[in-house]
Amino acid sequence: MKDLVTELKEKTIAVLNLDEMKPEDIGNDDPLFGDGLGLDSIDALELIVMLEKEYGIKIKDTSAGKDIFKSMNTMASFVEANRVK
Amino acid sequence: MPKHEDWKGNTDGTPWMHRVLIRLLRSVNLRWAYAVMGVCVVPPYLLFSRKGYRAIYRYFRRRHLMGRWEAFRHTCLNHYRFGQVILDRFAAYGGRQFHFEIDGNETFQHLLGSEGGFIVLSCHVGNYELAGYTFRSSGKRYNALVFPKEAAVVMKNRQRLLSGNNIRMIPVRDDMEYVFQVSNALADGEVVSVPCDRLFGSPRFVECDVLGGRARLPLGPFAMAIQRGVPAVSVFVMKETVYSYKVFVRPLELQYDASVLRPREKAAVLAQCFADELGRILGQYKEQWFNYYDFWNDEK
Repeated sequence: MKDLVTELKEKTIAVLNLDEMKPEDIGNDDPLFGDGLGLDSIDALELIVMLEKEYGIKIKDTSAGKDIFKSMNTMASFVEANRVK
Repeated sequence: MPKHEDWKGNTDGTPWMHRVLIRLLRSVNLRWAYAVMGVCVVPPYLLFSRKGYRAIYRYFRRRHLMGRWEAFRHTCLNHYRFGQVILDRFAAYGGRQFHFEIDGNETFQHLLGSEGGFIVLSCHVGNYELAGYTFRSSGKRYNALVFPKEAAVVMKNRQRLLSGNNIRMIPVRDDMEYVFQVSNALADGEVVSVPCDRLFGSPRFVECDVLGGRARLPLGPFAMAIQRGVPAVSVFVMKETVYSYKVFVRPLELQYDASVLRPREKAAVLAQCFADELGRILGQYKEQWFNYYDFWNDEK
């Protein structure tokens, strides 16, 4: 699980072009949107596409989306439970 | 860039006024309704809605290089046209039918017949919404991103007419559920329609050249097309006569090999393609620009 969190951080940095950031700069429970990492809806779409491509996950319950992307830990838990790749 | 927080995003008037208007327009000839609107509604708006007046006056002065008198005359005409467009919507709520001629229908039909989803980009010119009340999407479901604060009567009638035409409204709210709905819709091969001249959702923008001036378009709709790898078309629905409209459908394609560009850069190129189409349509229908706030950078 810990490795998956790091992997997700690396992929997030790559896909969002956060060139100046390193995985250790992102806390596992830091909010990804709003006051935390400061991501927005465009970044959310990038992350959705990344989860589809890398882990074969489609988020069917759209109302749960914000909870899934709450932090790296919540995203990792969701990927762990739903990945098909 | 700040979002357009000062934009109310709703139709003026109270719910009972909207209901009365819908009933009236079922029986009253639209020409009479236009005449009353032109005499009783347009002048107060010209006098008291100063911000909207100034934005449109400057649009004619700076974008179409008109003299003071000509710009004033066109500003009056623009307000009258906008009144017509609003009345047409209420007439449609009451069951009135309009005639549509489509320029570029083969592009639209080709995309509808293909397997994948695509994005329809439009903005506050002409009467885009009216086409949604008329055309039924028989195959792919049509998803329209909408501002959630529209007046209740308008939303109720929109919902009634649009759902009958296989069109789903997706309100853009802070919970970002719309991002997941849009993403799933495109992945499922559906159509997503997005307005491109207002910043809501993400505050990020891309600067484009429109009619010789720099303007800020929202990055989101263009980034969405690039990220999901789906085609995009611009659609403008322009008023021609009392009961007829002309629909312009144009594919938005990157004009050169963009494979070397990063996704955000591709989105910026796509935004300029849309801006070029917008400029063309505004050159042809100058008075049907209904964006009543300062859109261009030099108007701020």
